[in-house]
Amino acid sequence: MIRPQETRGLVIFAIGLVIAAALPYWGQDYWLEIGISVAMYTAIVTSWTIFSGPTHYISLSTAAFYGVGAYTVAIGQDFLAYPYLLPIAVVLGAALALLVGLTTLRLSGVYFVIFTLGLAELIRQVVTWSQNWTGQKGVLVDAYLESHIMFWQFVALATAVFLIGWLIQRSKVGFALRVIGNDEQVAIHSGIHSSQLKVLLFMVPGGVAALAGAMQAPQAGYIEPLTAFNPQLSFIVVIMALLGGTGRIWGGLLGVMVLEAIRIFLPTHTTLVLGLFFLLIVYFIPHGLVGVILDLRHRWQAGRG
Amino acid sequence: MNTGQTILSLDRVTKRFGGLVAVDGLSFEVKRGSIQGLIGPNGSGKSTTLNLLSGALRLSEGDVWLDSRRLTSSPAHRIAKLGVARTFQLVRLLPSLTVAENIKVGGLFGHGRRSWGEADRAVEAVLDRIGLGGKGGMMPGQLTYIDTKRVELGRALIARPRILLLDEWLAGLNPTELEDGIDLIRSLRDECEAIVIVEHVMEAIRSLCDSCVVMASGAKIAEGSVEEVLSAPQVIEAYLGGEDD
Repeated sequence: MIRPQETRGLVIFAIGLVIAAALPYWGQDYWLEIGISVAMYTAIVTSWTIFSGPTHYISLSTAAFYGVGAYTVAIGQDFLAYPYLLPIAVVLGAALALLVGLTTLRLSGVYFVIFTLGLAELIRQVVTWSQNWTGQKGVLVDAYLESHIMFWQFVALATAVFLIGWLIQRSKVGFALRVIGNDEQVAIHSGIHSSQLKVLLFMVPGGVAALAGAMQAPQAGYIEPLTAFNPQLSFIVVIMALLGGTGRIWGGLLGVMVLEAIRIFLPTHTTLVLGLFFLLIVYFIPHGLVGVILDLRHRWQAGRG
Repeated sequence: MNTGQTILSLDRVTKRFGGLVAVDGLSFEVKRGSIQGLIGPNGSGKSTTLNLLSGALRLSEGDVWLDSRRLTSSPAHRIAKLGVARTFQLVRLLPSLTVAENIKVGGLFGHGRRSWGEADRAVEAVLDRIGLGGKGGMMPGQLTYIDTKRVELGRALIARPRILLLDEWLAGLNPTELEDGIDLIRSLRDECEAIVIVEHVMEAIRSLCDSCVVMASGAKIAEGSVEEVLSAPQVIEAYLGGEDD
Protein backbone atom coordinates (compact mmCIF):
# COMPACT_ATOMS: atom_id res chain seq x y z
CA MET A 1 0.00 0.00 0.00
CA ILE A 2 1.36 3.40 -1.00
CA ARG A 3 0.78 6.25 1.41
CA PRO A 4 -0.32 9.69 0.11
CA GLN A 5 2.95 11.41 1.06
CA GLU A 6 4.87 8.71 -0.79
CA THR A 7 2.91 9.28 -4.01
CA ARG A 8 4.41 12.73 -4.41
CA GLY A 9 7.92 11.34 -3.99
CA LEU A 10 7.26 8.61 -6.54
CA VAL A 11 5.89 11.12 -9.05
CA ILE A 12 8.92 13.39 -8.66
CA PHE A 13 11.12 10.32 -9.01
CA ALA A 14 9.34 9.21 -12.20
CA ILE A 15 9.61 12.68 -13.79
CA GLY A 16 13.31 12.89 -12.89
CA LEU A 17 13.86 9.44 -14.31
CA VAL A 18 12.21 10.31 -17.63
CA ILE A 19 14.28 13.50 -17.97
CA ALA A 20 17.47 11.62 -17.07
CA ALA A 21 16.73 8.73 -19.41
CA ALA A 22 16.21 11.17 -22.26
CA LEU A 23 19.72 12.61 -21.82
CA PRO A 24 21.12 10.82 -24.93
CA TYR A 25 18.57 12.74 -27.03
CA TRP A 26 19.27 16.21 -25.74
CA GLY A 27 22.78 16.11 -24.26
CA GLN A 28 26.13 16.16 -26.02
CA ASP A 29 28.57 13.27 -25.70
CA TYR A 30 30.41 15.15 -22.99
CA TRP A 31 27.28 15.30 -20.87
CA LEU A 32 26.54 11.68 -21.59
CA GLU A 33 29.94 10.71 -20.15
CA ILE A 34 29.12 12.69 -17.03
CA GLY A 35 25.65 11.13 -16.96
CA ILE A 36 27.18 7.66 -16.98
CA SER A 37 29.40 8.58 -14.05
CA VAL A 38 26.54 10.17 -12.09
CA ALA A 39 24.22 7.20 -12.68
CA MET A 40 26.91 4.68 -11.74
CA TYR A 41 27.94 6.48 -8.55
CA THR A 42 24.31 7.06 -7.60
CA ALA A 43 23.64 3.33 -7.81
CA ILE A 44 26.74 2.47 -5.75
CA VAL A 45 26.31 5.25 -3.17
CA THR A 46 22.59 4.59 -2.70
CA SER A 47 23.20 0.88 -2.18
CA TRP A 48 25.94 1.76 0.31
CA THR A 49 23.45 3.97 2.13
CA ILE A 50 20.85 1.21 2.32
CA PHE A 51 23.12 -0.72 4.65
CA SER A 52 25.51 1.78 6.20
CA GLY A 53 23.01 4.63 6.62
CA PRO A 54 20.76 3.13 9.27
CA THR A 55 23.29 0.79 10.86
CA HIS A 56 26.22 3.28 10.96
CA TYR A 57 28.61 0.52 9.91
CA ILE A 58 31.06 2.37 7.66
CA SER A 59 32.04 -0.03 4.91
CA LEU A 60 35.22 0.63 2.91
CA SER A 61 34.94 -2.46 0.78
CA THR A 62 33.22 -0.92 -2.27
CA ALA A 63 36.44 -1.22 -4.29
CA ALA A 64 36.64 -4.93 -3.47
CA PHE A 65 33.14 -5.62 -4.79
CA TYR A 66 33.60 -3.33 -7.79
CA GLY A 67 36.86 -5.03 -8.69
CA VAL A 68 35.32 -8.47 -8.39
CA GLY A 69 32.66 -7.34 -10.86
CA ALA A 70 35.22 -5.95 -13.29
CA TYR A 71 37.26 -9.13 -13.13
CA THR A 72 34.13 -11.26 -13.59
CA VAL A 73 33.94 -9.71 -17.06
CA ALA A 74 37.69 -9.77 -17.66
CA ILE A 75 38.02 -13.46 -16.88
CA GLY A 76 34.53 -14.61 -17.82
CA GLN A 77 34.48 -13.11 -21.32
CA ASP A 78 36.44 -16.08 -22.67
CA PHE A 79 33.57 -18.36 -21.68
CA LEU A 80 30.34 -16.37 -21.77
CA ALA A 81 28.87 -13.36 -23.55
CA TYR A 82 28.91 -10.04 -21.67
CA PRO A 83 25.19 -9.92 -20.71
CA TYR A 84 25.40 -13.34 -19.03
CA LEU A 85 28.35 -12.19 -16.94
CA LEU A 86 26.35 -9.43 -15.24
CA PRO A 87 24.18 -11.68 -13.02
CA ILE A 88 27.27 -13.72 -12.20
CA ALA A 89 28.97 -10.54 -11.01
CA VAL A 90 26.00 -9.81 -8.74
CA VAL A 91 26.18 -13.29 -7.23
CA LEU A 92 29.94 -13.12 -6.71
CA GLY A 93 29.74 -9.64 -5.16
CA ALA A 94 26.91 -10.68 -2.86
CA ALA A 95 28.74 -13.89 -1.95
CA LEU A 96 31.88 -11.94 -1.06
CA ALA A 97 29.73 -9.59 1.06
CA LEU A 98 28.21 -12.61 2.77
CA LEU A 99 31.67 -13.93 3.57
CA VAL A 100 32.84 -10.55 4.88
CA GLY A 101 29.62 -10.13 6.80
CA LEU A 102 29.83 -13.51 8.48
CA THR A 103 33.40 -12.88 9.60
CA THR A 104 33.20 -9.21 10.58
CA LEU A 105 29.69 -8.03 11.30
CA ARG A 106 29.77 -9.63 14.70
CA LEU A 107 32.54 -7.19 15.38
CA SER A 108 31.50 -3.64 15.75
CA GLY A 109 32.76 -0.20 14.92
CA VAL A 110 36.35 0.28 13.96
CA TYR A 111 37.16 -3.41 13.41
CA PHE A 112 34.58 -3.58 10.67
CA VAL A 113 35.93 -0.44 8.97
CA ILE A 114 39.52 -1.65 8.99
CA PHE A 115 38.62 -5.12 7.80
CA THR A 116 36.60 -3.86 4.87
CA LEU A 117 39.44 -1.53 3.86
CA GLY A 118 41.96 -4.35 4.11
CA LEU A 119 39.77 -6.67 2.10
CA ALA A 120 39.99 -4.63 -1.12
CA GLU A 121 43.74 -4.42 -0.74
CA LEU A 122 44.03 -8.14 -0.04
CA ILE A 123 42.07 -9.09 -3.14
CA ARG A 124 44.03 -6.64 -5.26
CA GLN A 125 47.30 -8.15 -4.07
CA VAL A 126 46.05 -11.67 -4.79
CA VAL A 127 44.99 -10.69 -8.30
CA THR A 128 48.27 -8.87 -8.95
CA TRP A 129 50.19 -11.86 -7.68
CA SER A 130 48.26 -14.33 -9.82
CA GLN A 131 48.70 -12.11 -12.87
CA ASN A 132 52.43 -11.88 -12.32
CA TRP A 133 52.43 -15.61 -12.10
CA THR A 134 50.63 -15.96 -15.44
CA GLY A 135 52.74 -13.16 -16.94
CA GLN A 136 49.80 -10.82 -17.54
CA LYS A 137 49.53 -7.19 -16.46
CA GLY A 138 45.89 -6.62 -17.29
CA VAL A 139 43.06 -7.89 -19.45
CA LEU A 140 41.54 -6.28 -22.54
CA VAL A 141 37.74 -6.29 -22.55
CA ASP A 142 36.24 -7.43 -25.85
CA ALA A 143 32.68 -6.28 -25.24
CA TYR A 144 31.82 -2.86 -26.56
CA LEU A 145 28.75 -0.80 -25.74
CA GLU A 146 27.57 2.49 -27.25
CA SER A 147 27.68 5.30 -24.70
CA HIS A 148 23.93 5.73 -24.60
CA ILE A 149 23.43 1.99 -23.96
CA MET A 150 26.02 2.20 -21.19
CA PHE A 151 24.17 5.20 -19.77
CA TRP A 152 20.75 3.53 -19.82
CA GLN A 153 22.26 0.47 -18.23
CA PHE A 154 23.41 2.52 -15.26
CA VAL A 155 20.18 4.52 -15.07
CA ALA A 156 18.29 1.22 -14.88
CA LEU A 157 20.63 0.01 -12.14
CA ALA A 158 20.27 3.24 -10.16
CA THR A 159 16.48 3.04 -10.53
CA ALA A 160 16.44 -0.54 -9.30
CA VAL A 161 18.60 0.41 -6.30
CA PHE A 162 16.31 3.31 -5.48
CA LEU A 163 13.27 1.06 -5.54
CA ILE A 164 14.97 -1.62 -3.45
CA GLY A 165 16.08 1.03 -0.97
CA TRP A 166 12.62 2.53 -0.80
CA LEU A 167 10.97 -0.85 -0.27
CA ILE A 168 13.45 -1.76 2.46
CA GLN A 169 13.17 1.62 4.17
CA ARG A 170 9.39 1.38 4.54
CA SER A 171 9.42 -2.27 5.65
CA LYS A 172 9.90 -3.96 8.99
CA VAL A 173 13.44 -4.73 7.88
CA GLY A 174 14.19 -1.03 7.39
CA PHE A 175 12.77 -0.27 10.81
CA ALA A 176 14.86 -3.04 12.36
CA LEU A 177 17.99 -1.57 10.74
CA ARG A 178 17.24 1.82 12.27
CA VAL A 179 16.84 0.18 15.68
CA ILE A 180 20.18 -1.59 15.25
CA GLY A 181 21.82 1.71 14.31
CA ASN A 182 20.40 3.37 17.42
CA ASP A 183 21.25 0.66 19.92
CA GLU A 184 22.10 -2.86 18.93
CA GLN A 185 21.59 -4.23 22.45
CA VAL A 186 18.03 -2.95 22.49
CA ALA A 187 17.47 -4.44 19.05
CA ILE A 188 18.64 -7.87 20.17
CA HIS A 189 16.64 -7.82 23.39
CA SER A 190 13.56 -6.77 21.47
CA GLY A 191 13.76 -9.91 19.35
CA ILE A 192 15.68 -8.67 16.29
CA HIS A 193 18.15 -11.21 14.87
CA SER A 194 20.67 -8.45 14.39
CA SER A 195 23.66 -10.38 13.05
CA GLN A 196 21.63 -12.26 10.44
CA LEU A 197 19.88 -9.11 9.27
CA LYS A 198 23.14 -7.18 8.93
CA VAL A 199 24.78 -9.93 6.92
CA LEU A 200 21.83 -10.21 4.54
CA LEU A 201 21.56 -6.46 4.04
CA PHE A 202 25.30 -6.10 3.49
CA MET A 203 24.87 -8.29 0.41
CA VAL A 204 22.93 -5.48 -1.28
CA PRO A 205 25.85 -3.02 -1.63
CA GLY A 206 28.11 -6.01 -2.38
CA GLY A 207 25.99 -7.17 -5.30
CA VAL A 208 25.34 -3.67 -6.63
CA ALA A 209 28.98 -2.53 -6.57
CA ALA A 210 30.07 -5.75 -8.29
CA LEU A 211 27.40 -5.28 -10.95
CA ALA A 212 28.55 -1.70 -11.47
CA GLY A 213 32.12 -2.90 -11.89
CA ALA A 214 31.01 -5.47 -14.44
CA MET A 215 28.83 -2.99 -16.32
CA GLN A 216 31.61 -0.46 -16.45
CA ALA A 217 34.19 -2.95 -17.77
CA PRO A 218 33.49 -2.36 -21.50
CA GLN A 219 33.94 1.37 -21.00
CA ALA A 220 37.17 0.87 -19.08
CA GLY A 221 38.34 -1.38 -21.92
CA TYR A 222 41.36 -2.58 -20.00
CA ILE A 223 41.10 -4.17 -16.56
CA GLU A 224 44.09 -4.15 -14.23
CA PRO A 225 44.26 -4.57 -10.46
CA LEU A 226 45.14 -0.99 -9.58
CA THR A 227 42.18 0.55 -11.40
CA ALA A 228 39.69 -2.23 -10.72
CA PHE A 229 40.40 -2.29 -6.97
CA ASN A 230 41.17 1.41 -6.59
CA PRO A 231 40.81 2.19 -2.85
CA GLN A 232 39.87 5.77 -3.71
CA LEU A 233 36.51 4.45 -4.90
CA SER A 234 35.70 3.15 -1.42
CA PHE A 235 36.46 6.52 0.16
CA ILE A 236 34.73 8.62 -2.46
CA VAL A 237 31.55 6.59 -2.00
CA VAL A 238 31.60 7.29 1.73
CA ILE A 239 32.19 11.02 1.15
CA MET A 240 29.39 11.21 -1.42
CA ALA A 241 27.01 9.38 0.89
CA LEU A 242 27.81 11.49 3.95
CA LEU A 243 27.79 14.74 1.98
CA GLY A 244 24.37 13.94 0.57
CA GLY A 245 23.12 12.60 3.88
CA THR A 246 22.00 9.11 4.72
CA GLY A 247 18.67 10.06 6.27
CA ARG A 248 16.82 9.91 2.95
CA ILE A 249 17.14 7.61 -0.02
CA TRP A 250 17.81 10.54 -2.37
CA GLY A 251 20.73 11.82 -0.28
CA GLY A 252 23.24 9.81 -2.28
CA LEU A 253 22.17 11.41 -5.54
CA LEU A 254 22.76 14.89 -4.09
CA GLY A 255 26.22 13.94 -2.87
CA VAL A 256 27.12 12.42 -6.22
CA MET A 257 26.02 15.51 -8.14
CA VAL A 258 27.97 17.90 -5.93
CA LEU A 259 31.16 15.84 -6.19
CA GLU A 260 30.74 15.45 -9.95
CA ALA A 261 30.38 19.22 -10.20
CA ILE A 262 33.62 19.63 -8.26
CA ARG A 263 35.34 17.22 -10.64
CA ILE A 264 34.06 19.14 -13.64
CA PHE A 265 34.81 22.65 -12.44
CA LEU A 266 37.93 22.01 -10.37
CA PRO A 267 39.56 19.05 -12.12
CA THR A 268 43.04 19.79 -10.80
CA HIS A 269 42.00 20.45 -7.21
CA THR A 270 39.50 17.63 -6.75
CA THR A 271 41.40 15.82 -4.00
CA LEU A 272 42.04 18.99 -2.04
CA VAL A 273 38.39 20.02 -2.23
CA LEU A 274 37.32 16.51 -1.26
CA GLY A 275 39.41 16.74 1.89
CA LEU A 276 37.94 20.12 2.78
CA PHE A 277 34.44 18.82 2.14
CA PHE A 278 35.01 15.94 4.47
CA LEU A 279 36.02 18.30 7.28
CA LEU A 280 33.07 20.56 6.56
CA ILE A 281 30.61 17.67 6.64
CA VAL A 282 31.90 16.40 9.95
CA TYR A 283 31.88 19.83 11.58
CA PHE A 284 28.88 21.59 10.10
CA ILE A 285 26.44 19.24 8.42
CA PRO A 286 26.60 15.87 10.16
CA HIS A 287 23.30 14.92 8.51
CA GLY A 288 24.48 15.97 5.06
CA LEU A 289 22.62 18.03 2.49
CA VAL A 290 19.49 16.02 3.25
CA GLY A 291 19.62 17.34 6.80
CA VAL A 292 20.07 20.92 5.61
CA ILE A 293 17.16 20.64 3.15
CA LEU A 294 14.82 19.01 5.65
CA ASP A 295 15.74 21.64 8.21
CA LEU A 296 15.03 24.49 5.77
CA ARG A 297 11.74 22.92 4.74
CA HIS A 298 10.79 22.48 8.39
CA ARG A 299 11.51 26.15 9.10
CA TRP A 300 9.65 27.26 6.00
CA GLN A 301 6.60 25.25 6.99
CA ALA A 302 6.83 26.53 10.57
CA GLY A 303 7.05 30.10 9.22
CA ARG A 304 3.95 29.61 7.11
CA GLY A 305 2.01 27.87 9.84
CA MET B 1 -3.59 -18.95 34.85
CA ASN B 2 -2.36 -21.71 37.14
CA THR B 3 -0.89 -19.67 39.93
CA GLY B 4 1.80 -21.36 41.92
CA GLN B 5 3.35 -23.49 39.19
CA THR B 6 6.96 -22.87 38.35
CA ILE B 7 7.39 -20.88 35.17
CA LEU B 8 11.05 -19.92 35.30
CA SER B 9 13.75 -21.93 36.98
CA LEU B 10 17.45 -21.41 37.44
CA ASP B 11 19.48 -24.52 38.09
CA ARG B 12 23.01 -24.03 39.46
CA VAL B 13 23.54 -21.03 37.23
CA THR B 14 27.16 -19.94 37.19
CA LYS B 15 28.96 -17.14 35.41
CA ARG B 16 32.71 -16.64 35.43
CA PHE B 17 34.61 -13.71 33.99
CA GLY B 18 38.14 -15.05 33.82
CA GLY B 19 38.97 -15.90 37.43
CA LEU B 20 36.08 -13.92 38.88
CA VAL B 21 32.93 -15.84 39.72
CA ALA B 22 30.12 -13.30 39.32
CA VAL B 23 27.29 -15.78 39.81
CA ASP B 24 28.04 -18.94 41.72
CA GLY B 25 25.72 -21.94 41.45
CA LEU B 26 22.53 -19.90 41.80
CA SER B 27 19.26 -21.88 41.90
CA PHE B 28 15.75 -20.61 42.43
CA GLU B 29 12.30 -20.85 40.94
CA VAL B 30 9.82 -18.21 39.92
CA LYS B 31 6.15 -19.08 40.38
CA ARG B 32 3.46 -18.24 37.87
CA GLY B 33 1.55 -15.12 38.84
CA SER B 34 4.21 -13.91 41.25
CA ILE B 35 6.51 -10.95 41.56
CA GLN B 36 9.97 -12.24 42.46
CA GLY B 37 12.50 -9.93 44.05
CA LEU B 38 16.23 -10.30 43.57
CA ILE B 39 18.21 -8.21 46.01
CA GLY B 40 21.67 -7.92 47.48
CA PRO B 41 24.46 -5.43 48.00
CA ASN B 42 26.30 -3.84 45.07
CA GLY B 43 28.38 -6.32 43.14
CA SER B 44 26.47 -9.33 44.43
CA GLY B 45 25.61 -10.55 40.93
CA LYS B 46 21.96 -9.48 40.56
CA SER B 47 22.34 -7.65 37.29
CA THR B 48 24.60 -10.37 35.94
CA THR B 49 21.84 -12.86 36.75
CA LEU B 50 19.35 -10.74 34.84
CA ASN B 51 21.77 -10.56 31.93
CA LEU B 52 22.06 -14.35 31.98
CA LEU B 53 18.29 -14.76 32.00
CA SER B 54 17.82 -12.41 29.06
CA GLY B 55 20.69 -13.88 27.06
CA ALA B 56 22.89 -10.79 27.16
CA LEU B 57 25.52 -13.04 28.74
CA ARG B 58 26.17 -16.74 28.28
CA LEU B 59 26.10 -19.10 31.21
CA SER B 60 29.38 -20.72 32.18
CA GLU B 61 27.50 -23.56 33.84
CA GLY B 62 24.01 -24.52 34.86
CA ASP B 63 20.65 -24.21 33.17
CA VAL B 64 17.75 -21.83 32.79
CA TRP B 65 14.28 -23.17 32.00
CA LEU B 66 11.19 -21.31 30.84
CA ASP B 67 8.44 -23.83 31.51
CA SER B 68 9.79 -26.94 29.85
CA ARG B 69 11.95 -25.01 27.42
CA ARG B 70 15.69 -24.81 28.01
CA LEU B 71 16.95 -21.26 27.47
CA THR B 72 20.53 -21.96 28.51
CA SER B 73 22.28 -21.52 25.17
CA SER B 74 19.66 -19.51 23.33
CA PRO B 75 20.74 -16.16 21.88
CA ALA B 76 19.13 -13.03 23.30
CA HIS B 77 16.86 -12.34 20.34
CA ARG B 78 15.35 -15.82 20.59
CA ILE B 79 14.84 -15.50 24.33
CA ALA B 80 13.02 -12.22 23.65
CA LYS B 81 10.82 -13.94 21.09
CA LEU B 82 10.02 -16.70 23.57
CA GLY B 83 8.56 -14.11 25.88
CA VAL B 84 11.27 -12.80 28.19
CA ALA B 85 11.29 -8.99 28.04
CA ARG B 86 13.58 -6.72 29.98
CA THR B 87 14.41 -3.16 30.91
CA PHE B 88 17.96 -1.92 31.45
CA GLN B 89 19.66 -0.62 34.57
CA LEU B 90 20.64 2.53 32.66
CA VAL B 91 17.66 3.45 30.51
CA ARG B 92 18.28 2.64 26.84
CA LEU B 93 15.97 4.47 24.51
CA LEU B 94 16.52 4.84 20.79
CA PRO B 95 17.40 8.55 20.48
CA SER B 96 16.45 9.12 16.85
CA LEU B 97 13.09 7.36 17.09
CA THR B 98 9.90 8.83 18.51
CA VAL B 99 8.41 7.57 21.77
CA ALA B 100 5.80 5.61 19.81
CA GLU B 101 8.46 4.03 17.59
CA ASN B 102 10.55 3.16 20.64
CA ILE B 103 7.64 1.15 21.98
CA LYS B 104 6.69 -0.27 18.61
CA VAL B 105 10.02 -2.11 18.37
CA GLY B 106 8.91 -4.58 21.01
CA GLY B 107 5.56 -5.07 19.31
CA LEU B 108 7.00 -5.80 15.89
CA PHE B 109 9.79 -8.17 16.75
CA GLY B 110 9.26 -9.47 20.27
CA HIS B 111 7.08 -12.21 21.67
CA GLY B 112 3.59 -12.15 20.14
CA ARG B 113 4.87 -10.37 17.02
CA ARG B 114 2.36 -8.15 15.32
CA SER B 115 1.92 -6.76 11.86
CA TRP B 116 2.72 -3.09 11.22
CA GLY B 117 -0.90 -1.94 11.64
CA GLU B 118 -1.56 -4.08 14.70
CA ALA B 119 1.63 -2.78 16.29
CA ASP B 120 0.53 0.83 15.72
CA ARG B 121 -2.76 0.17 17.46
CA ALA B 122 -1.05 -1.68 20.29
CA VAL B 123 1.33 1.26 20.78
CA GLU B 124 -1.60 3.58 21.45
CA ALA B 125 -3.03 1.19 24.02
CA VAL B 126 0.35 0.77 25.73
CA LEU B 127 0.97 4.54 25.81
CA ASP B 128 -2.30 4.98 27.70
CA ARG B 129 -1.51 2.02 29.90
CA ILE B 130 1.82 3.41 31.11
CA GLY B 131 0.59 6.97 31.49
CA LEU B 132 2.13 8.46 28.35
CA GLY B 133 -1.07 9.02 26.38
CA GLY B 134 -0.58 11.78 23.81
CA LYS B 135 3.21 11.71 24.09
CA GLY B 136 3.83 9.20 21.29
CA GLY B 137 5.13 11.84 18.91
CA MET B 138 7.76 13.19 21.31
CA MET B 139 11.46 12.38 21.06
CA PRO B 140 13.17 10.59 23.98
CA GLY B 141 15.32 13.66 24.67
CA GLN B 142 12.21 15.69 25.52
CA LEU B 143 11.03 13.35 28.26
CA THR B 144 11.44 13.52 32.02
CA TYR B 145 13.46 10.78 33.66
CA ILE B 146 10.50 8.76 34.87
CA ASP B 147 8.86 9.04 31.45
CA THR B 148 11.97 7.56 29.79
CA LYS B 149 11.58 4.67 32.21
CA ARG B 150 7.93 4.35 31.27
CA VAL B 151 8.85 4.15 27.59
CA GLU B 152 11.28 1.34 28.28
CA LEU B 153 8.63 -0.46 30.25
CA GLY B 154 6.19 0.09 27.38
CA ARG B 155 8.66 -1.45 24.93
CA ALA B 156 8.76 -4.56 27.11
CA LEU B 157 5.00 -4.67 27.75
CA ILE B 158 3.87 -4.36 24.16
CA ALA B 159 5.55 -7.69 23.45
CA ARG B 160 3.01 -9.32 25.80
CA PRO B 161 5.90 -10.93 27.67
CA ARG B 162 5.57 -14.08 29.71
CA ILE B 163 8.36 -12.95 32.02
CA LEU B 164 9.18 -9.32 32.67
CA LEU B 165 12.67 -8.56 33.97
CA LEU B 166 13.03 -5.15 35.61
CA ASP B 167 16.59 -4.04 36.35
CA GLU B 168 16.40 -1.32 39.02
CA TRP B 169 13.46 0.24 37.27
CA LEU B 170 12.62 2.34 40.33
CA ALA B 171 16.13 3.66 40.97
CA GLY B 172 16.58 7.41 40.89
CA LEU B 173 12.92 8.35 41.20
CA ASN B 174 11.75 11.01 43.64
CA PRO B 175 9.25 9.99 46.39
CA THR B 176 6.12 10.88 44.39
CA GLU B 177 7.40 9.21 41.25
CA LEU B 178 8.37 6.19 43.32
CA GLU B 179 4.81 5.80 44.55
CA ASP B 180 3.47 6.05 40.99
CA GLY B 181 6.12 3.62 39.80
CA ILE B 182 5.29 1.03 42.44
CA ASP B 183 1.59 1.29 41.62
CA LEU B 184 2.35 0.88 37.93
CA ILE B 185 4.42 -2.25 38.44
CA ARG B 186 1.84 -3.72 40.77
CA SER B 187 -0.78 -3.22 38.12
CA LEU B 188 1.27 -5.24 35.63
CA ARG B 189 0.93 -8.43 37.64
CA ASP B 190 -1.96 -9.63 35.51
CA GLU B 191 -0.32 -8.75 32.20
CA CYS B 192 2.52 -11.22 32.32
CA GLU B 193 3.00 -14.60 33.86
CA ALA B 194 5.68 -13.44 36.27
CA ILE B 195 7.85 -10.44 37.05
CA VAL B 196 11.43 -10.55 38.29
CA ILE B 197 12.65 -7.37 39.94
CA VAL B 198 16.22 -6.45 40.73
CA GLU B 199 15.97 -3.53 43.08
CA HIS B 200 17.70 -1.55 45.82
CA VAL B 201 14.61 0.34 46.91
CA MET B 202 13.46 -1.70 49.92
CA GLU B 203 10.11 0.05 50.07
CA ALA B 204 9.35 -1.30 46.62
CA ILE B 205 10.54 -4.79 47.43
CA ARG B 206 8.38 -4.85 50.56
CA SER B 207 5.24 -3.70 48.87
CA LEU B 208 5.60 -5.59 45.61
CA CYS B 209 7.35 -8.90 46.00
CA ASP B 210 5.73 -12.21 46.90
CA SER B 211 9.09 -13.78 47.49
CA CYS B 212 12.65 -12.73 47.43
CA VAL B 213 16.11 -14.11 46.77
CA VAL B 214 19.06 -12.42 48.44
CA MET B 215 22.47 -12.63 46.79
CA ALA B 216 25.93 -11.86 48.13
CA SER B 217 29.19 -12.42 46.26
CA GLY B 218 27.38 -14.21 43.47
CA ALA B 219 25.62 -16.78 45.64
CA LYS B 220 22.18 -17.07 47.13
CA ILE B 221 22.28 -16.41 50.89
CA ALA B 222 18.57 -16.36 51.66
CA GLU B 223 15.21 -17.06 50.05
CA GLY B 224 11.62 -16.72 51.17
CA SER B 225 9.06 -14.04 51.90
CA VAL B 226 10.38 -10.50 52.07
CA GLU B 227 9.97 -10.21 55.85
CA GLU B 228 11.72 -13.53 56.40
CA VAL B 229 14.76 -12.76 54.32
CA LEU B 230 15.21 -9.21 55.56
CA SER B 231 15.37 -10.37 59.15
CA ALA B 232 17.76 -13.22 58.45
CA PRO B 233 21.11 -12.65 60.22
CA GLN B 234 23.23 -13.50 57.15
CA VAL B 235 21.31 -10.91 55.09
CA ILE B 236 21.80 -8.19 57.68
CA GLU B 237 25.48 -9.02 57.81
CA ALA B 238 25.80 -8.96 54.01
CA TYR B 239 24.21 -5.54 53.82
CA LEU B 240 26.18 -4.06 56.70
CA GLY B 241 29.38 -5.58 55.36
CA GLY B 242 28.45 -4.32 51.93
CA GLU B 243 28.85 -0.73 53.02
CA ASP B 244 32.59 -1.16 53.24
CA ASP B 245 32.82 -2.12 49.54
